[in-house]
Amino acid sequence: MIADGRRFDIAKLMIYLLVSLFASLSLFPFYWSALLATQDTRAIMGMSLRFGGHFLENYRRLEQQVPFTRSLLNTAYVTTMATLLSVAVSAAAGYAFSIYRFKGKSSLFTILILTMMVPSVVNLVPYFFVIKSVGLIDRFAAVWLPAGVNIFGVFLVRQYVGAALPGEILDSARMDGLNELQIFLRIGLPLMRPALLTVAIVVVVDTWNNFMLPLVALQSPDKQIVQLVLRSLSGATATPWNLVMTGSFLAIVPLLIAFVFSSKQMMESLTHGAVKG
Amino acid sequence: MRKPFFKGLLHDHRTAYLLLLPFILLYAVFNAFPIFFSAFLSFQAWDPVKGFSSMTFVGLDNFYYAFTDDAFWISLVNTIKITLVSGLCQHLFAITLAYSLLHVITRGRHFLKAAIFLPYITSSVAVSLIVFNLFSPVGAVNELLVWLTAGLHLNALATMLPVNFFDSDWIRFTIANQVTWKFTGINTVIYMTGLASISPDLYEAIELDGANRRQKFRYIALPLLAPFIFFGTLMTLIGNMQLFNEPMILTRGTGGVDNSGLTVSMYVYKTGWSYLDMGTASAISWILFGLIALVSALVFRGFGKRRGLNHDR
Repeated sequence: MIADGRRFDIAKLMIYLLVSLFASLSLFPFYWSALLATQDTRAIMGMSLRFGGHFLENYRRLEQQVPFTRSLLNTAYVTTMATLLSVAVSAAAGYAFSIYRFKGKSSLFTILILTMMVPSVVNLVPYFFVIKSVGLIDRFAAVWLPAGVNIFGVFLVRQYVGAALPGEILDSARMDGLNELQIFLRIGLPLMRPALLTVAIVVVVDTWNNFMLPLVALQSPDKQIVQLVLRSLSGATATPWNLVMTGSFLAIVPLLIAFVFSSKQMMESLTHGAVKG
Repeated sequence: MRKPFFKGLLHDHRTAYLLLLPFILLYAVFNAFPIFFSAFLSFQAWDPVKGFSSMTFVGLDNFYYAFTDDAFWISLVNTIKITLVSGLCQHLFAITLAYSLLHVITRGRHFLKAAIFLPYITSSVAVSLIVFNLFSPVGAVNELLVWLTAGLHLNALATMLPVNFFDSDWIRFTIANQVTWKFTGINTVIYMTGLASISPDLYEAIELDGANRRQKFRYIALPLLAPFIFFGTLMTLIGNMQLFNEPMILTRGTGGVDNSGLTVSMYVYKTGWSYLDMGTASAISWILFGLIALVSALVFRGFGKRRGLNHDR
């Protein structure tokens, strides 16, 4: 029995080591970019593993090469707009799907499910055509307007409202003389808050990291978002590593901080988003 | 006052359409129209620089061009290789990690789970830059390999160093590695949800029969996890086949030496924006769609059969 217990412990230890190894490999790139962002060129050449004190200097020099702060602010703006729009549009549409019967409801529903299967790259060429036609090239709206179409969000709100909002509440609100829009705003919206939070988290992460649409839509130097600025650094071999890593680290850090404070909620929401309801 | 209907359901077309209007508008402009337009465009020749008037109908020429184009086939083979290697690794790792985190690990479970999930929320572009540094010929990974081969006296391997992880032999590995790193975590969490839904009674029952840890995994967890494996694999296949960001940055937009890191999505972009041939770009994107639909159908059939067999037993 003792031998058996010991073997059990060794197996457990091995599993602990294995999982810890995976966790370390997952975290290592963050550590590495943070490390190099604080070092000067000499420390990097010597592959020093000690944090240096050059972060602010690296940041200043990065700013001289590319409009980095500007691009971070632009990304924050685009992400905010995309999230607000997506949450508002999904809330209204999902609520309508859940509460009302209307003509074309089931066919619209089928069409939405079908379009979810079309790969995003099919949309890329016509997306360029559309934003060119309506004059949105080099406008941030070209990136945040399409985020308003969040089929996952609509389905999630529909499902949530269906489960959380009993018909009796709606009926009594109508008896009290509230009109349909007032019911949506005063009763529906507050009730679907958890679903809207999930939609918001998914959209924030997607938009902050979005690369494909900005690549096609944003061209002039003062309209850059952070992913595009980072990409321009990858082509320029002249840029020293400490500056490139300062940029990478700063592009990751906002979502990283959010994750540290709400990892449970974010993991739940993003998993939900990944399996599309 | 309006008469309330039963259970709050209401045939109020006006309010319904009003609430749906913003969504329908955006959907029409950014989803529905583009799909039809893309289908239309795949039969046209269009150079966007010359304006909309330069569009001309060319029949199936774009598809013919794509199917006789070496670069297209290379991109297709690359995409399939990266998809399979990274997909397999992601799911093997994820199932192992999920089972370990849920049934073996007690202390530090949440931290380890969160750490493994974290790559999912990172920018592919930023991580690609870190990968450039780590995997460069003078980077930390090569240094580690040199140190390991010297320490273990593996002289034959040592002569192969430093490895150029961005050359035509290694670039697909480097891309697959980064993709695996990014998506193993979310698959782990998906599998943890699946494992958590398995009733503890089943484990207890098989434990009473004297089953060990491995048998519990093999005969309880794995079969009951089948629907999660099904959806997880399907999502990974669909996602990986559209791979764009990682190959785009890791090959600096070129596709790599001899297109060794070119994926289909990236080739669509290059055809449209480098070669200014929007018609062929659309055609290739539809070929990709067809391929994804085909793979999805095969996965559905494959799993359907396996599950059918299990029912027979």
